[in-house]
This record gives sequence, C-alpha cells and structure tokens, in this order.
Amino acid sequence: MPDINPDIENAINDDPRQSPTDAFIESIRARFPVEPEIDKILTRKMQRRSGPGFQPVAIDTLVAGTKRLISAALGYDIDIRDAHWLSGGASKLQMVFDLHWRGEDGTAPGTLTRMVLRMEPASSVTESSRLREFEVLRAVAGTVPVPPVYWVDPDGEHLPYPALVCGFASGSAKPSADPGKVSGLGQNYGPDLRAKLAPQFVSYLADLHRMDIPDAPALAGFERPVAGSNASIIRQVNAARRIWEEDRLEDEPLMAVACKWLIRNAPPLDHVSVVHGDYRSGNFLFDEASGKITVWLDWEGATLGDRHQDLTYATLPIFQHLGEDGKTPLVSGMMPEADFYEAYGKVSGLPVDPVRLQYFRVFNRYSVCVLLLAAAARCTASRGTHQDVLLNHVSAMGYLALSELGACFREVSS
Amino acid sequence: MNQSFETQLQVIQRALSEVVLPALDGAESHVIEQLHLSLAAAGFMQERLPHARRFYRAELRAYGSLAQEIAGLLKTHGLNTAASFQALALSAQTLLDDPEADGEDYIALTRKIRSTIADMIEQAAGEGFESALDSLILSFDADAQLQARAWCEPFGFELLAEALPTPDWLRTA
Repeated sequence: MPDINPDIENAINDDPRQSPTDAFIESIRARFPVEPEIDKILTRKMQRRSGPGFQPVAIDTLVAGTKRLISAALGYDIDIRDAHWLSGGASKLQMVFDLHWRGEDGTAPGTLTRMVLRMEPASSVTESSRLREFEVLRAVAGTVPVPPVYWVDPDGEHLPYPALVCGFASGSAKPSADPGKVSGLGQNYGPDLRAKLAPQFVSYLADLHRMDIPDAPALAGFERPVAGSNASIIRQVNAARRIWEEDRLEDEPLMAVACKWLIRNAPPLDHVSVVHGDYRSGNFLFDEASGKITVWLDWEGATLGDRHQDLTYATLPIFQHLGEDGKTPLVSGMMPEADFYEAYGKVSGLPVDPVRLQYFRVFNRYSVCVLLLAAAARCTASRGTHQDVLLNHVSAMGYLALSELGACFREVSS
Repeated sequence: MNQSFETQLQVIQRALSEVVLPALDGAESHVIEQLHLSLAAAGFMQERLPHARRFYRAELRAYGSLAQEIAGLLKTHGLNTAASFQALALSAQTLLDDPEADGEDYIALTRKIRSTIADMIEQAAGEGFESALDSLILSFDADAQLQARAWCEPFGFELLAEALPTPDWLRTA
C-alpha cells in the first residue's frame, strides 16, 4: 500500500480486519448469526478484502460481460450500443447502455431498450446481495414505481463482480435549485416541489408496507419472519454488529452498550412488511415539472420486517433540513416528524406504535453509525471503491450519527 | 525556507477551484462532485491541522480519565481487572507528559483504551456492575461526541453548527 502515511499503513496492516484469516472470519460468523444470504455476502467481503483494492474497470470489460450475461439468459446473441458510465450512487458501478434485442423469447422484432448495469466494486460501503435486490425489485413492481429488472449475475459468473441489469429510469434525484447535496443528505426540495412530493413520499411507503408478501419461490434470498417473533429483528441487529466487528478501524464503547440494549429489547413483529431499508430523500427520482415521483431506487438493503424501521429511518437527522421558518426540521426534506407519522398512519391504516418507533430510532442510528464509522471508513482506508473521496466525506458524519445515537439512547433508556 | 502546510493546502485549493474546476465545464457530474469533495477534504485539513495535536491530546486525556473512573468502579466490586484500567490511565498520563510524543502516539493509545473499554462492556453483560458501567459510558459519551463533532464541523453537516460548544482544543489555538 504505497504513498500513505507509514504509521497508518502499519496500523492497517496490523489490523486483523484488513487481512482476515479464516479463523477470524469464522469466529465473527459464529458470534453473530444472520440470514444465509447475508452471511454469504459478508463472508465473501472478508475473503476478498486481502485482494487488490479497487482497480478501474474498462467499460469494454463491462460491455463484454453484460453481453455474455444477457445472451446466456436469452439463448440468443444480443448487441450493446452507446455504453457509458452513469453518475450517482456511492456503492455501485453503473453503466447505461442501449440493448439491441428481440425480447424475452427472441421472436419480437429487433428493438433498442435503454438499460442500466449495476455492479459491485471491489468493496462497497453497503455490501449487499444482488440476488436480494433483484428479487425485491420484482416483488414490489406494481406496488411502488421501480425500474424493471431483467437479469442478475449473483456470483460474478459473467462480470468481474456480482451485478444486475435493470431498465433505465428517467427523472431527477436533486432539484435544479439545490443540486449541491451529496446523495440527498439534507436535500431541500423547496416549498413548491415539497408540496407535490410529500404526499407521494408517504403513500408509497404505506403501499409498500401494506402489500402482501409474495409466496415462494419469490424472495428466496430472504428468510421469512414470523409475526409475534423478534428473531428476525435480532438477526438484523446481529448483521449490523457483525459489520461493525468486521469493518471498524477503531472501537466505540457506546456501540457496545447500544448493541446489548438492541438485543434485549427487540420487539416482536406485529405485521411483516417489505422494508426498503434506505427510504429517504435522495433515493427516488422525480419529474421536476410535474413533481411526480417516477421511481424508487436503492433497494439493496431491503428486508422483510417491521415498518417502523423505514418510518424512523426516513426521519433520521442526517436527512433533515430546516424549513423556511429556520427552526422546524423537515424529515427527508418533506414535513415535520409528527406530521409524517400521522399522515402515514392515516394512509396505511397500520398503527404507528410509539414503543416500536423508539426501538427503531435506536436501531437505525446504530446501523448508520456502523455504515459511516465502520464500512465507509474501512472502504476509504483500504482504497476499495471508485468513490473513496465520497465515502471519506460521508464518514465524517459518523460522529454526528454517534452523538445522535447517544442522545436517543439516553432518552429511551432513562 | 520551507513552505508551510497551510501554503501547500492553499495552492492545492486555488489550483483546483480556480483553474481545474472551470476547465471541467460539461464534464460528467460525478467528476465535478469528486472535485468538490476533494476541495472539501483539503479545506478540512486546512482548518484542522493547526489544532490536531491539541485535539488528539484532549481525546487521550478524556479517555484516560474514563479508564481511571472504570478502574475505580471495578475496584469497588472487587474485580482484578481494575488494575488493567489503572495501567491504561497511567499510560495515558505518561504519554501526555512526554514532550516527544506525537499525534500518532496519542491516537494509538486512545484506540487501545477505547477497545479495552468496549471489550469490558461486553464482558459485563449480566454482571452486578453492568448497569453502573453502562451509565458511566453514557455520561462520558455526551461530551466526547460533542468534541468529535466539533472536529468534523468543517465538513458542514451540522444543522446548527453555532450551537456546538467551542472546545478547549480550538479555543486555545
């Protein structure tokens, strides 16, 4: 690892997390049992951490791999035209291209369809399953606007790393009046656009949480939680704790205190919902003229679980900004927190339980701390992605998140 | 005369913002974004480098004090592990008294103390002193995180940055 401070280099090299042994990986797996597909992804992350850091991938390599993936799935040769990189997102490499094909069964007239390849880099701030992302996009289509998803390469058989191919979604992630925010953090849509977006923001979340969970074999990469049990919540806490143990550069005593509380106080599910996992400003596209949300993005963290997870995630302070009065925080740039819960309760018909809100406020703050102080920091330090400078930037929010966790935790545990 | 870090960072920022950025008109948005974020990182260094040593010393001093408090707590419960926390507290004070110590030394020992405390919190699960130990951490944490947030404030994530207390390591610059 040339060209970095030798002291830091030594610290990283001495760190068992940077070059993990099989025994180290197994010890963490044993301590924190998680869903099988999550276990597979996190284990793979650790196994490839000792490998080379991020190496720029030539777009020709992606085109060739994508051709192989799609041709193998369709059973006939296709062509890819006008391929180029797609900006946006902190965790995936994205290529947009025109697919020249003859439809799913090869009998349609030749046509061009705009598509997107989403592929993992060498390491990612959110190590997640392309299979689960593929499955959940298929499951929620028709309930929530999402890009049509076509093919998945879950283990990197055709491409350098696991990837999926979906349709190209049009729309803006940021309003032209406030384009400078990173990944929707503190995004201010302005009063006019906000008035149009906010009701949709609530109603799509309600629709998602009310939808029936499709029967198997759909969502095969997900374990099926059972209403009345808290086992699935504990597995999620374990997953976050496992990432903390695998990725952190240094420990934080508060994280250990909070984790114990999360395990002991995990509430049983009262209703099993599809949970987006990253439902907030910045993760949807919209038509600026009409104010219509055109598509919801970033489903890689989706799970089957408790709706209060999404509700309290959307209200995290890092996604807020102050309203025009200069004092009222607007959750995800939409509305005050109490108004959000009230509107959701009315639209969904599902109860908004203060005790579960309290629990998932802590849970989400804990998870965000893991993401920022462990995963983002590790990716940056190990030169793992094409977006190191972005991950370095967002990791600087880590202590704001940890401070919020502490304040929230003191409130609920007092 | 060797140019200062301040000047080195200044020339980087001027070149990137006044020459490179205008020349990138029409470039893909992620290219522009990465340049803005690089400028933000350089700006952070420019603001915080002059305070770095005092900040690292303040962190070590705080965690050394916490280790001392934990040693006291464990001792009242008759636990031998009190001695290891006492040793950490002494090491912190020794390092703070050493005029040759540098930032990396402070960081390394602070990490060691944090890690040892986190391990103890896990081991304390179900023990008679667990609640007292957790309370000690929560009480300590409130100020520690405010200090860390103040350190990161130049990145611009604070909704009300002016509401953050001015830490000693910044005040005494």
